[in-house]
Amino acid sequence: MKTLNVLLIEDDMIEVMKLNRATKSLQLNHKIREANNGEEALNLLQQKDNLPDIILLDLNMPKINGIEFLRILKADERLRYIPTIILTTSSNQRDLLECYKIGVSGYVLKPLKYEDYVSKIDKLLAYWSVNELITA
Amino acid sequence: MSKEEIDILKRALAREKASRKVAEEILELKSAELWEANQKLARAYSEVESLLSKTDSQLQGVFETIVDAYVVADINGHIIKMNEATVSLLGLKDVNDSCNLMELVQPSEYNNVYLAFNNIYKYGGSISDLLVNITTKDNRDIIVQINASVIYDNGVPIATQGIVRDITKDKEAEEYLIQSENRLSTLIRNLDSGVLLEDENRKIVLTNNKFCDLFGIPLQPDQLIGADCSNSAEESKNMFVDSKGFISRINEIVEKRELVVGDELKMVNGSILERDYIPVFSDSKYRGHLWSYRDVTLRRKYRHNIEAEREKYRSIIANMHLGLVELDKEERIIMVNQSYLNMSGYSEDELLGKVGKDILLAKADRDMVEERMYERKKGLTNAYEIRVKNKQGERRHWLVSGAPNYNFNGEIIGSIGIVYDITEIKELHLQKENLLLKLEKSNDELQEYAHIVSHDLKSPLRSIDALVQWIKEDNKDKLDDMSLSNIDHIEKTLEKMEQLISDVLEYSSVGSEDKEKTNVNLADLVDGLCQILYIPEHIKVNVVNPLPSVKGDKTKLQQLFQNLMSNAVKFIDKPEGKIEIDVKSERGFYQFSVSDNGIGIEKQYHDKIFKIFHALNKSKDSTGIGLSIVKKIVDLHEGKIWLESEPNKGTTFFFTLKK
Repeated sequence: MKTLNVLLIEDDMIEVMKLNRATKSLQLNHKIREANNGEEALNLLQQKDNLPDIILLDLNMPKINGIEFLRILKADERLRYIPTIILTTSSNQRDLLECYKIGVSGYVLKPLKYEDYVSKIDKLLAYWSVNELITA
Repeated sequence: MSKEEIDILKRALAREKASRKVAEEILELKSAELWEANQKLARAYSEVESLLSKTDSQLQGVFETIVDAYVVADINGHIIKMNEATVSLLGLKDVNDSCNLMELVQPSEYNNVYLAFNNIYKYGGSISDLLVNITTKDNRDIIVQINASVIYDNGVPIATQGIVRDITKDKEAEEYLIQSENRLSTLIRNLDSGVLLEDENRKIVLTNNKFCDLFGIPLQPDQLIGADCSNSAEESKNMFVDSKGFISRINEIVEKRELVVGDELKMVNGSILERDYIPVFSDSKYRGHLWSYRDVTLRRKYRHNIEAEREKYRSIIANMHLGLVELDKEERIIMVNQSYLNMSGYSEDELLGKVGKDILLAKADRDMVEERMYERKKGLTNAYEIRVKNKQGERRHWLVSGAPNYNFNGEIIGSIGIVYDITEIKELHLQKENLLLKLEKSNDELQEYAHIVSHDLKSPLRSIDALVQWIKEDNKDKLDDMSLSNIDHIEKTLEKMEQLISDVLEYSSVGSEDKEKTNVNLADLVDGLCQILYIPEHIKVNVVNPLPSVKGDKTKLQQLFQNLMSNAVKFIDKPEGKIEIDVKSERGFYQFSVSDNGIGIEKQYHDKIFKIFHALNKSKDSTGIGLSIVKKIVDLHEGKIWLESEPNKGTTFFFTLKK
């Protein structure tokens, strides 16, 4: 199984902890980088030689929200090819539609139960680690 | 012979001589007288003779020159003598032609004529104006008038002389006159006006049926002829409302002998009569007068009605809140009502004769109005909105309804417009549209807000759950049973909180999205729900009648059945649970029912239960929003929802959905 270079864009500190702890407890060796908001993420993505394999994106964020960030991403010649998976608590039909319209590779609802969360993350990362990805 | 004797003889001779002398003298005298007389006689005779010849020649002249036919015939009717006029009248050859007059008489008249002549031969006298139909020698049927007298010889009638006149034409004219008189009198008799013709002595000459009707006279018009009218006014005065005035007016009219037309008389019985008086003059001498009476009650009433109607409409037009404007063919204003003046702000003087669209109409609408006016000139009626600027410079919205105006001959002479100021309505309309837009926007915002809030509320729940799990994991074997039980409570509370937030979000979402309604197969839908929903072993779900397809929002209809079914599951407290889903087809809608044999709901809560946050059982898995959502969905599908329930026995929810 491939080790993934994951960029998590999430403003909630505990959410970041959740992903880290989940991958750890799942004993996955994926490399997780965090950005607390869209701006920070865009800065990170400036390093064209160190682009992530996939992006996990929260929708509700201050400053640039998830959808705005997604638009910027998809407008970029290179960044548009990075699979972006939405990770959110919002089951808003409109958001879902909008995200797929702009172009996402997945839309995962954060469940209430932590154990359900771990299970979902396991499957998500497993799926992308068996996918062929465009690398720099 | 003796002397004596001689003497005696001598003396006798002497006496004789003397006597003869006397006689001779007398004779001579008488003879002279006779001669005288003779002379006189001779003179007289010659006078008579000349007189006679003179008269005779005079007569001859008359005879020859007389225009009328003069004929002398013997007692058998043979013509002895005739003039030229007779020849041509009777169709003879010449004055010497022979002809028997009686042969010309038509057989039907023969007896009459014979008797008439026989009469004068026997008893004398003359025939005057005897009318006889004859057939002339040249076969013409004519009517002649004969005047004749007998010629006597020594007291014996020997001939008849007479004048014959052709009166065929006169007769025809007379008949024609009679006919036309008859016609006229029939006309007068049946005239719809009562007619009364009086002579100069106020005696009735002519009247008719209508007159008798109007005055209630129970006689035939003919029976009135000759009756005196000088007192009739007095007799009929009580038929009139103003009886005194009736009499004085008649007296006044009769006295003046001047034409009077259209006097109005109100009768006691409610009728109204119109009376004309026409004096009749012949050779500028007053000969009487003609009264004519017409019953104008209906016409008066009709006129009265028309006037009342006219007044009504005039008043409506004057007072209506609609502006009325009449335009001529050149679109110049001919007439406006008060409302139009109020609306436009102009005075009548400022508008009359002007072209309305030049004064009032907003430039932007000019082309449109010209198009409409063009249509109207072609006879079309139309209605449209225009923007105008009134005298105060305010912009107003008018609704105009226009129609072509026709004259009596059906020609278009202009148009009539009714104008209604809809500025306020228009503003309200705009306001409404703005409000709707705003509402839509704020609904949208609210929806967004609900999502954001629910996200923001849900996120911490996830964090708490994660943290609690970590505490549990990190302190495995260190936590006592009490702590583990408490942690369990935290987890349950989190779940409840999560459900609550989801329900609130769901409730606020119902009706926010207008999804296209599609045909939803409810049988499939309920089947599917039976698979998805958690239905404990002891509860049986039974669909009684096959469920139909209805038009609606599938997701919401699913939610509707899901909430009702899970509600039923939730409140079943019997060891053998029973949920029955049924449907009944009604006119225009289906009536569905979902019944359970659960704990039931007391009557007093039947209305309350559909209100948000009114859960009767604040149990661990009831947020009190489920039924509110159900009601909202039913409302959205224009249906009704109600329930029947008996505590401890069970509850049946009924709802209707349009077919």
